[in-house]
Amino acid sequence: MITITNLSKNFSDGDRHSIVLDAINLSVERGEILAVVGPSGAGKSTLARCINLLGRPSSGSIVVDGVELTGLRAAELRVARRSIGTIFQASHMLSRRTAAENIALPLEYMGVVREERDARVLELLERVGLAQHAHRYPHQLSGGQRQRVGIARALALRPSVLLADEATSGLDPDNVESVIALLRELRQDLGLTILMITHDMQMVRKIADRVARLSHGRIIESGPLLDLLVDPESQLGNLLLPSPSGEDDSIDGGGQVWRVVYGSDHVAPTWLAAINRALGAEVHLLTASIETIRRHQVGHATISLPANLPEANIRRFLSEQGLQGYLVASPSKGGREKVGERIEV
Amino acid sequence: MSAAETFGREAATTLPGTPWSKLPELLVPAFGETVVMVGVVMIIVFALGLPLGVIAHNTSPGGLFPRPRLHAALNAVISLGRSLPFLVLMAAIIPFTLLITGTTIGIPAAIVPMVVAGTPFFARLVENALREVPPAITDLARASGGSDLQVIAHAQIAEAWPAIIGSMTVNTIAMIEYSAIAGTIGAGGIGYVAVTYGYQRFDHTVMIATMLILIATVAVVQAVGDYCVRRARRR
Ligand SMILES: Nc1ncnc2c1ncn2[C@@H]1O[C@H](COP(=O)(O)OP(=O)(O)OP(=O)(O)O)[C@@H](O)[C@H]1O
Ligand SMILES: [Mg+2]
Repeated sequence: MITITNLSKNFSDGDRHSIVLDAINLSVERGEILAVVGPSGAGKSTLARCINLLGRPSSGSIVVDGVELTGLRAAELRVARRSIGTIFQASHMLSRRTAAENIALPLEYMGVVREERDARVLELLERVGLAQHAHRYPHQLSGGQRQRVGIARALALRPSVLLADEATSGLDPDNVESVIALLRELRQDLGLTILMITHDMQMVRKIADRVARLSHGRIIESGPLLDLLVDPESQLGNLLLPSPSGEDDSIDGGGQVWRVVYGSDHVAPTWLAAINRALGAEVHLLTASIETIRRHQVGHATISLPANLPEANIRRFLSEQGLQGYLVASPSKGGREKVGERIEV
Repeated sequence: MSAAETFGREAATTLPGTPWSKLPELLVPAFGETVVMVGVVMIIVFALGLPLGVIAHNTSPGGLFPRPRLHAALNAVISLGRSLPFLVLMAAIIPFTLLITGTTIGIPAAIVPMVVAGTPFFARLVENALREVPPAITDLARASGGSDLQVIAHAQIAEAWPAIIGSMTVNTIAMIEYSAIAGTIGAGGIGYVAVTYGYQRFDHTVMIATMLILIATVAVVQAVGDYCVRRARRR
């Protein structure tokens, strides 16, 4: 488990100071997968480097499995790092060592005897599906294969915590799937605590338990994945499951446009027909989708209602039905006014 | 022109050149001396220059143990050693050479200035080679639980090894050149033969033979060095 309290990191370059992480508070429970998302340059990699103390935090505390890391001396830190596996953003390997020798590195550093080391490396190679490439050098491996060597190396010492900085960037969909399956399996089998940094929202939907959004060095939104997905006002929820039409502005019709989100565990599938009856108004269904995310169904719909229907009535109806909705666009006096904003990751 | 040199040149016109058949007897021991001189120098240069380069690299801002002051001091020493022409350096450190070897002529006396000139040169080449290793490589060794020494050995030196071998090649060739310059203080070796026979006695046969030997030696060193670099690269 990881507990980060008030973590800040500044870089000073001559007289120019930049605050890259600003009082971050974050925790990941044992066996939990936390996804950290955010735009490029937000400080995600810096955060990961602070957690394993590759970069010294400027202030704040980092506790991994009950050990406060920031106060440790070099030798103690090396021991503490054995319980933290790190998968790096770029799939670097030592270029003069084979895949097997690269994976053996942490075992060598820990002083594991040869036979035991070889056995463990073999096991890891099989786990990441590289057994037949054990004796290849990095330049003989594809990017995806190198990335899997990095994963195996991170797991070599059976860590309790895994930091994965864009572990799937640059991989093809099949490889992404296999990494996702692997991480899931690891969490299941070993109770691994995973902090995962990614730009891939599909991956987040597939494995994260909780999500935090980092922007300009601050956590600006975080919460359990499913809660975020059914909260129509959540920017993070929006990012995770964008409305199927993509562009809300393209919706035509002159009515008021509502975005409706719901977890179908709580909502009757006939809700759309019920609107008609309850409000006596004509509903146009503009877009709709239902996705099964982690065995829960999450529905998204964009509907258009007559412009003269009072907003309060609509809200009341939606909440009675257990639906979450918000107004996307309404025809105002001057013309169509867009409500809400679009954000990028 | 000094009296001795004038005499030498006049004498050269009257002395017959060394016959070809006598060359091996003159050049083989001389070549042996050059090999010994450069070999000993390179062993010492490697032993001193490698750690010096490693420390210079790791005391820099991006290194494993940044120490700006120490880094600046090492930098100054390395640059100083690199900025003096060898002939000047050799003359300048004569008291030091005398202190260490008890003599100012011969092979031991040549080895001291060659080491003094070669070590900073090699240290600089090593530092440059280490700088080319991506920081991410150092990070992954550190994250794997490596100590500073392990990170230096496995991530830095091992990754830069082909470049370090290339630096050894360049350095060895420079030392062959220096050994010829050191020949002027009676250091022995091919350089000494070239100076005493070729220059002072105007012996064209010996002059040409020593040139050919030097060219061939440098070519062989370069070829062996390149071969080792290719092998070390593992591709
Ligand atoms: N060593 C450093 N010195 C100065 N500034 C740095 C340093 N490392 C990172 N930064 C700055 O910190 C900010 C965050 O960088 P970071 O690598 O953490 O971003 P990121 O969120 O991982 O981005 P990406 O998604 O592109 O990987 C950037 O503005 C970067 O320029
Ligand atoms: Mg990054």
